[in-house]
Amino acid sequence: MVDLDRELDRQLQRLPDPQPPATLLPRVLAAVGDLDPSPWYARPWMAWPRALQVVSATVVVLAIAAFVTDAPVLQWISPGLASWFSGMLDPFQSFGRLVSEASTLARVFWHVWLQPIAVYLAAVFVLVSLAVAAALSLVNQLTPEQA
Amino acid sequence: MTDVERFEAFVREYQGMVFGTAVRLLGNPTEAEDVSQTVFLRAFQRFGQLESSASRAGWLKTVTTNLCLTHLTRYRARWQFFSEVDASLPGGSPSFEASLVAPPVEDAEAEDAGADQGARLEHALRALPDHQRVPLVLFHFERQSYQHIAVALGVSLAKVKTDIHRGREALKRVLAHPASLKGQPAA
Repeated sequence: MVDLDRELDRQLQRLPDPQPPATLLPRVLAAVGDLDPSPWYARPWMAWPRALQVVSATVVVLAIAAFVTDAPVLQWISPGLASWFSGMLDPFQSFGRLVSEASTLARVFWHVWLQPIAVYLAAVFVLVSLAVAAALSLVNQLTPEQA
Repeated sequence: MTDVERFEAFVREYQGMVFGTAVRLLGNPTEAEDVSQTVFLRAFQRFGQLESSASRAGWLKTVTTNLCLTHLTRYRARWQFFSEVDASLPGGSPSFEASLVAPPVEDAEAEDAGADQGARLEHALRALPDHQRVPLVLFHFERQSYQHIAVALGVSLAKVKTDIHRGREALKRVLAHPASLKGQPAA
């Protein structure tokens, strides 16, 4: 019986993989064709070919690095493209300049006009507030329970 | 070489393993082909990662096994019912010959050859009832432990051991009496 057990184990280990039917490969390829007929750029990034994933990730990383370090990458790659891109950014740059000038003007106004008298203004504000509060209290005491 | 061409080569390389695993677990070539197709479709969806992975064969085996067990789940109630009936019979399981079904058409050549013990064993393996064949295949071909098989099948450890033992006994009878497979009517 032990020999038969060993023989069974031996025979099971020696069994080759059953031959797949000849129809399996065509079925799989047809199903794959139906599954995703779209080109790579229309698929999610995770489904792109590996090489394109690497290239696209590299481009994104370089773009972010160039933006952060303010490197003139476009100027290196293509001066024409850089000037076109610069033209595209002109309205934004004008708006940025306007905001910058307005903030500068506000700072000057603060330093020249408001800051020297700020303490006095604050003191006047506090005194006026106290005076108004006292006046209202006095009025309330002089006109008791009329309502 | 395009993606599709590389995937075709990939399928050619692993279709034997995937189909072999499926047909032994399911005992039915038609269902095994369906499951194999599903496995390769899943492989295609992650082919970018799978192609260069060293564990792609293991991934394919795992997915194939899981899909086959899921496929069998719809028959699980029937499977467990017959298994319990089997266990409650006096003297254990019914004769193996009684559980034999007609061999698939693709096995006709092996059947005619008669002397090919491997083919007979393969046929006998597929003819085992589900509740004996599945744990036996998982144990012998997928190298899974009794405990792992019990968890995967949702049955007790004792039942896994009993079913594997009975499956082995049936296969040993085939080895000891090769003629027992020939000329049996379908159950």
